Amino acid sequence: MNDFEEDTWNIASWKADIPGKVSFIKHSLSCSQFPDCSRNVILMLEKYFNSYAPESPPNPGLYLSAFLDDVIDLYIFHSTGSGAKSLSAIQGLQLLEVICSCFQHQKSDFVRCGVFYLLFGVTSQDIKDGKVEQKVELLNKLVSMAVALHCDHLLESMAVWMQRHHHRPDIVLKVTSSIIEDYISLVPASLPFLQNLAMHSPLMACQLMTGLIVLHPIVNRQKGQKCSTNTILPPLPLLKVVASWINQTPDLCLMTLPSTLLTAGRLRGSFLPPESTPLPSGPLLGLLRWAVLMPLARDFSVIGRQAQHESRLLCSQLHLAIIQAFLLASKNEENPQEEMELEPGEVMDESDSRHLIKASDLKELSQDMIKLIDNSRALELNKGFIDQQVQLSIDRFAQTLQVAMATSCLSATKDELLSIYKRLPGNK
Amino acid sequence: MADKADTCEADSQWLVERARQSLRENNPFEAKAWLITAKTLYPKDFGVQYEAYSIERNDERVQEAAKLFYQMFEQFPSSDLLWKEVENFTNALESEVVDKHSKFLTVLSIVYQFYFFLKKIFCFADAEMTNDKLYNLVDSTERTCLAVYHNMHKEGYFCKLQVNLTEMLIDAGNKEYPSTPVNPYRKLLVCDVLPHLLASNNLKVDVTRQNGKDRDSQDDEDDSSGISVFQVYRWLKLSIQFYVACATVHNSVPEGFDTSHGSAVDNSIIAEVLDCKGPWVALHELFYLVAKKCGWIEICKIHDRLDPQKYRSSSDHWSSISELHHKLKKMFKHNLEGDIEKDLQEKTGVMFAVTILFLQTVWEYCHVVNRLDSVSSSGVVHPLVFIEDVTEDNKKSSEGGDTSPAPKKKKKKVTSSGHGSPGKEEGKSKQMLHVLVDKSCGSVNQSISDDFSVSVDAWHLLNTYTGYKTDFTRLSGEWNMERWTWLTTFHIDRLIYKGKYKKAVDYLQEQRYSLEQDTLSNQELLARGAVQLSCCYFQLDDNKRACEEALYALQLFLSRASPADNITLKRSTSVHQGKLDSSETELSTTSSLQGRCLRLIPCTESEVVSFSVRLLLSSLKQRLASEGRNDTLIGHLIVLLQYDWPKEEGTFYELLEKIRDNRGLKYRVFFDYVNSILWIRAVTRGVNKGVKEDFRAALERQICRSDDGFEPFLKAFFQDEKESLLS
Repeated sequence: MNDFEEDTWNIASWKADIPGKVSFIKHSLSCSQFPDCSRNVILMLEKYFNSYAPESPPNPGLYLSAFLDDVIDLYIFHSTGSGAKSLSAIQGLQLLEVICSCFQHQKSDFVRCGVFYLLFGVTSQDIKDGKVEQKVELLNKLVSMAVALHCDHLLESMAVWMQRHHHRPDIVLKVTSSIIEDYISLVPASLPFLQNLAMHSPLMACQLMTGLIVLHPIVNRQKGQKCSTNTILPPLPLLKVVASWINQTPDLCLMTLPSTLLTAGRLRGSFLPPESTPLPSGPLLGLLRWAVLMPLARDFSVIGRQAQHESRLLCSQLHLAIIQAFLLASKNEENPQEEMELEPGEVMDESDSRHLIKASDLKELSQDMIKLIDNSRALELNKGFIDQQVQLSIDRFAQTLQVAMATSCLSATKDELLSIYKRLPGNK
Repeated sequence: MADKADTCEADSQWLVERARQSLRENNPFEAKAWLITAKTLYPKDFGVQYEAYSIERNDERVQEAAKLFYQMFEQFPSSDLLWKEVENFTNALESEVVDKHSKFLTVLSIVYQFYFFLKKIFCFADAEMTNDKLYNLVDSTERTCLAVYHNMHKEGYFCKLQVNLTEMLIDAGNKEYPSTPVNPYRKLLVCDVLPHLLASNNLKVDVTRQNGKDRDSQDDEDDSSGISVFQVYRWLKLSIQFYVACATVHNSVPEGFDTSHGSAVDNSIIAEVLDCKGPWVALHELFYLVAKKCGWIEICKIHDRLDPQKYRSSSDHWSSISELHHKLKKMFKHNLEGDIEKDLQEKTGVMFAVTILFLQTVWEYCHVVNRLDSVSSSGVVHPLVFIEDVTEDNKKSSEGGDTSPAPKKKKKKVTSSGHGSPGKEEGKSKQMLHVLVDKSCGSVNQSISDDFSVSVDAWHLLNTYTGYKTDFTRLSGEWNMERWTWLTTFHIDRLIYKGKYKKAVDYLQEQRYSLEQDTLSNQELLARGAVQLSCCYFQLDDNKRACEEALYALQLFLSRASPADNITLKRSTSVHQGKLDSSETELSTTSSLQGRCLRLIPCTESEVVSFSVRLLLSSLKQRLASEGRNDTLIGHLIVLLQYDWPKEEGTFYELLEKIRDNRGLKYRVFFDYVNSILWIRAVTRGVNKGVKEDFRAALERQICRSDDGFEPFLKAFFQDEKESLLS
């Protein structure tokens, strides 16, 4: 590349004759072959972000954003509407490979997350233009592949993406469920890949869990929403994956993202209007719900003593990990310098540790418990068995409460707690 | 919750029971959850914690079990159950039956011991070292430890852990303190871990594996034959560097001698090292441990003679080592079919021994010469200056017959023979070298001349003998030795000692250049440099420059006449007076030794005056002999002779003779600087042999009386007549 070209490919350096430069880029891109043009677009964006400090991310103007959108549409998504030919299956695979390798080779967290967001971030404009589908579709394929290939950089960017869209659960959940579908329903033999995810990208595992607990709430609280019993309960293989994740590293459920990554890269057009309930900020409470409510839920897929024992073991594992997470959270509170031991980019939000669980959460949970207990009692099955399950659920609940209080991870007044106690059936 | 102790007990017991119940149902997770809950409720209950430990132990999870056991031991040190468990550990360690359970217990006990070991170390080292950090350390070691279990004898475990720990400490030190050898990690490594590890019988050093030339690559292969000998060398190198840095940075050094070891030196570490055994003793002990581990039989044989605690002289240490060196060299030459690898290793040992001895002696010498440890009340510290005497007969020892070679100030002859490495230096300097410590140096230990010659010889050996040269060069590169500014003195003095005056001049001029950046605070050092330059020029027969430098040195003192100097002046003058008689005998012994005369004198004004007088006398005499009649020279000589009267009485009479032959003396400043009436009479009238004795006595009286008064005259003389003296 000569000097002029070098300059032109770095958008950050554009001062004058922007239309000329835009058309130069467009022309050079249109001249290059397929996977190269896509790679060039990503490299150009990386160069763009690289010229900025993480504290002050680039904020392209209208004209520039429109240009970026154009080339992204054309060379990444290959939207048919923009005049590009649709890709063959092989080419689709090539595209994924190009994107993966670009992200794997980019060393800066900030650049990766910024570019990723620029490529895949969803805006209200996208919804208007009907582009969400294609974005999510490509994302699904990309993440599926990244999980199998252990592309930790890409997964990390994806986790940030999920966190940034957590006010739009519909979009995030689409991706989440598609991954789960790929790995659990479609090709169950590939489960080990998913199990290893926590080692390669703990952030992604954490975000996935957050999505999963919303997908499988066990008790439906929104009246309007209809869920079949199949999806309302977490399937056993999924339980297995999650249990193995957090059993290895209980602090997985305490992770938060650094704010610089969450603001890297803005998009044209307004932010998405938030949906009624955003995704929870972390998986801890949802996992606790699983551990406490599973014994009470009537899971028709779990038949036979063997399966029952397995389900119980997995839930115990979950429960133990949650308790350990509380211990960890309080330990971090005591020694703030221990934060240094965390991976770069993962900051333990210590101020939050007092509010890991709130009284209102517990109240909700206890209400759901009662609801489930009433349901199963009404069905008048094996009374002894039900009592046993109720006891198990209450034991877990009480233990969690005790540890959370002892580690001061619970913000609740005595009265609030007493009112919760009163509603639950008696126990030691 | 319950207030009473027994209900407490019952409640915790109930929780433990629930945990056991869960275990019976094959649900260890549930059991652990119960126990964690119980522990948060009853943090002081032993039963709860023991149960949790038992679960991990029965599950054979070493890491967790050891951690819990360790925590319990901290909290309940007197529990019988725990001691019983310790007994189990011991039994497992001793038993020959390797069943699965005892194997596990073995591992457990080792990891547990390691906790204690680390804890002990970290308590010493760093109060901030929390248990968590400790666990993290063990975390990373234990993984390796389990991986190598099958290859290693069980006791070897503990060593393997410690070896791993050394790696971690080295890495951490390099990462956090890349340019500071004195850092907390290195201290842990050198003072705490290595002495333990090297003393352990279980550490096997593989001395046979020499083929691997990758000296600096760590030996991470988990092979049963032990660690590589290069690993041990690496430890030794790091230890030497650490202790030398400790020894050399602790002094409050005067300006111009910056410590060059980085600023972030932890003083508390150094203080601790110094308070303990001192760096040299500690280093020797470590060296001996290494020698034993590496199988340096010969070194071990003489180690007793090298022990710095035995207070032998450094020349004695040197002779032991150089004897061994020559012995090995001979063995190497004649015993080619023998165990060459063995010899090579011994040689490495000798190289290290010589290096350590060199560093120790050179530091002893340099810190005395630079007066790094003494601060005078006036704030002015006079360094010592190493000079070669500037009398004519010293330079050309064949010529001088009648005059005594020793200058007026007598010095004690401390060393001469013994340290000279046999058969090595004959070709170069056949003259015998004496380094004399002048009495005016005050309390300076006479042994430094010993230290000096040993360090010169050791330096020479390390830099010339091919077997050591590469290793030593690499070492000094690793340690940035060329940046140790305190070594400069040694290099200059060494060059003078070896008679390499030209090189010394180069060195000195370079040094002057850097000192002149701050002339005011470096005056002492500039003066010293000038005196040494003067010496070198004199030896190089450049009398003019020699005189120039001497007068420059004087000028430095004159420009800063502080009262403190006058005190020194008087004191040392009176010492001179007293010494005249007492050292008469020594004079004869010194003068009987033919050869160069090298001295250490304090770099004070009066010493420099005396030096300059001697230099000018020699140089003017030479000029007079070569130039023929020159009344100014004769006049100058007469003025100078007054200073040391009656030392060069003979010269004086020769001059009188000359004046008589010339029938007069034209010397324009005669009355300014010749301050004795008797002298004037003697010079003007001439002297006949008959009155010589009376005259001499009168003169002596006169000079003694006017002693205090003569130096100012002389100083003025030097200043006013500078042009003429240098012409």
